[in-house]
Amino acid sequence: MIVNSNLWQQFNPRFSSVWRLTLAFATITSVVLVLCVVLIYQLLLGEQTRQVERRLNAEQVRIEGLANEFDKTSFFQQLAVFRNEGDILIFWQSDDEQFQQLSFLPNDIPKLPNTLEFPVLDTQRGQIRLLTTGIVNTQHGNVVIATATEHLSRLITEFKTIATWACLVSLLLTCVFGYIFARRHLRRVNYFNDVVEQVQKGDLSARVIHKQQGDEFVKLAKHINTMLDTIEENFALVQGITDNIAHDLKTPLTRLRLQLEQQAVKQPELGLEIEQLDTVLHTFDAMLKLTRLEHGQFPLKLEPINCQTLINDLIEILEPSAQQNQQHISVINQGNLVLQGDKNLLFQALFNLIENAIKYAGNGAAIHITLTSNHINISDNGNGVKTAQLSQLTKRFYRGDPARQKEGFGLGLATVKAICERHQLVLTLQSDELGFTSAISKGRE
Amino acid sequence: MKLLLVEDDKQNREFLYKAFSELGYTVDTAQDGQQALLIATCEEHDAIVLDRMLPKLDGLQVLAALRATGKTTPVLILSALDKVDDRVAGLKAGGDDYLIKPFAFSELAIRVENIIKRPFHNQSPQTALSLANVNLDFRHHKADVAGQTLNLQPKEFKLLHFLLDHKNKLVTRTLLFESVWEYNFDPGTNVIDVHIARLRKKLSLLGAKVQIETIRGVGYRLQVEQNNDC
Repeated sequence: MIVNSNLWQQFNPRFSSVWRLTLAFATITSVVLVLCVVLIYQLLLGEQTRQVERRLNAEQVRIEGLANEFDKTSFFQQLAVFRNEGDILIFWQSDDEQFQQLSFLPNDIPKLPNTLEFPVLDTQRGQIRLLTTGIVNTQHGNVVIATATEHLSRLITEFKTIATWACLVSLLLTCVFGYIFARRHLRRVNYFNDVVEQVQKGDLSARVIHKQQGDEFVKLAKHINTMLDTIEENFALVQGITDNIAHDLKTPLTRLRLQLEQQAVKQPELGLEIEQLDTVLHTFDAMLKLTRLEHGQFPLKLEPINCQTLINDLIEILEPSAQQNQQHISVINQGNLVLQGDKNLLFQALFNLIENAIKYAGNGAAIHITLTSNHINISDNGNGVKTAQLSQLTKRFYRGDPARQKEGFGLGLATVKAICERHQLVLTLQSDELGFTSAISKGRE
Repeated sequence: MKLLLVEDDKQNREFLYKAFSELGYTVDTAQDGQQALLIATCEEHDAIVLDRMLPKLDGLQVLAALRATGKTTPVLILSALDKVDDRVAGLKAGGDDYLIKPFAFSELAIRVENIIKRPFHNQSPQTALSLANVNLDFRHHKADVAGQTLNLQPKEFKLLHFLLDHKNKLVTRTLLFESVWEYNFDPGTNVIDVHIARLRKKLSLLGAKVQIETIRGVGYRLQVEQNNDC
């Protein structure tokens, strides 16, 4: 299926401008070729055909002249003389005399200038000849004149055969070469796409490899690389600044924390201050992490993750907290979901979702975790949120009404969303009268 | 035990010097990368605490140079940067452990202790730990309080094991979480508190003569119960 659709995509003019161009080019070439053939035909063979017609017409004029000039007997005598001259054959039939060399004469020979072509057996030479004939009406009777055109006819047939073959072969060649040409260009365009995609995924060091000099593609490659250089430089600059801020901020905080900690052993009430300091630090780190995730700067350590194991670990960790709120967590296992992802990040995403359910579903709520082969559903039967709030939930520092009274800093769902996007997973949030549901599902492959 | 402490911030260096000295370490200090490399190559230490961002020579460069000379002294890297790739880079460069600033001294102390004893750990594996009347046989995965079987879930067992391993010492939340659940993540105070509360309850039901003390903002400590009756 996938192979087929890929192949179709490759050939579907709608998806590839280069291929579209090739098809258009092939069409134009074919049209021009056909026109040329028609023109050559008209110039060479058409002329010869017309020449035959002219000869017959001239003969007609002469015979009519003779008929007017002579009486019947001498007219036929004259004809008998002409008959042996040149390549024009003359047949006639009159009351007293019939002159016919042919075994067969069709009855439907038209009056000149219309002509009829028919084959006859030439008994003298023992071969089949093709005659173009027409009738001349004279006062002495009908005279059939004919000329042999088998050479011309053969020429026309051969010309047609050769022209057809030439057209077909050149059309085929145009298509084949066009396809190869298109493939080469498509490959280059696709290569560009791959590199840009790589950059989009966070690998700023990706560059387009190109020749030193060349066509527009090489130029484009150069531009892309220059642009990436600039972006990478700026990124490194900003990175350096934030790293320095982090360093400069954290050194005094380390002092503060170390001293507070030392005193806290003797004065336990200082513990509260340390916890608050930790909250500040936690928020700071979470913000940095979220920013890095959103900008694809967070390298993932990819490995196959069994979500079943993750969920089990999470429940083990969070169940006591749920029990504190008289909540019950149940797992419905309908399939095994294995994701290619970063263990710690996926853990954090699911942790945040389940912890949210525990925090906001209210005392005595039931929390269901459903696991299927392509999604994880976490639903509770709490009050949920207003539908208007749903889209706001994943924004940073947004805190819904019920959340304001609880501790937290409004980064949880934003982080979950960033983690999901980084893994090409889809986060769906739903709220209705039955409660709140969050789901992480595999995106389209 | 001899320790080399490399930290460019004077106050932190002095604080750590004092704190490690109190724990019985002989402490050498260095304030920049060059000095650190000089001292580390000339003298033998049991462990090195190395700041990541240093003047003159970066922490990782010091580490790389040190490893190039064939020194295998265990190194713990301190860093203000909490990035996975930094952590990976640090560990790849030959660091044995990585700690993010700001950190709790109790956590640093335990981590230093861990990297020092790591090489000997495999030689004499312990099979049982005990404190007061609490016994933990981790070869057979059994725990008891004065002979009565203590029913623990696997993670609770690991939790108690970790606390017993570091008895009388402060262990921080993150260290606990990392060792018991094996995720690199800070789940917040509440989550761990609830687990500790459960374990505490199970222990006290069987009359264990140990207590798990919660020191807010710092961590937990397992010790022999002190009688406040007198």
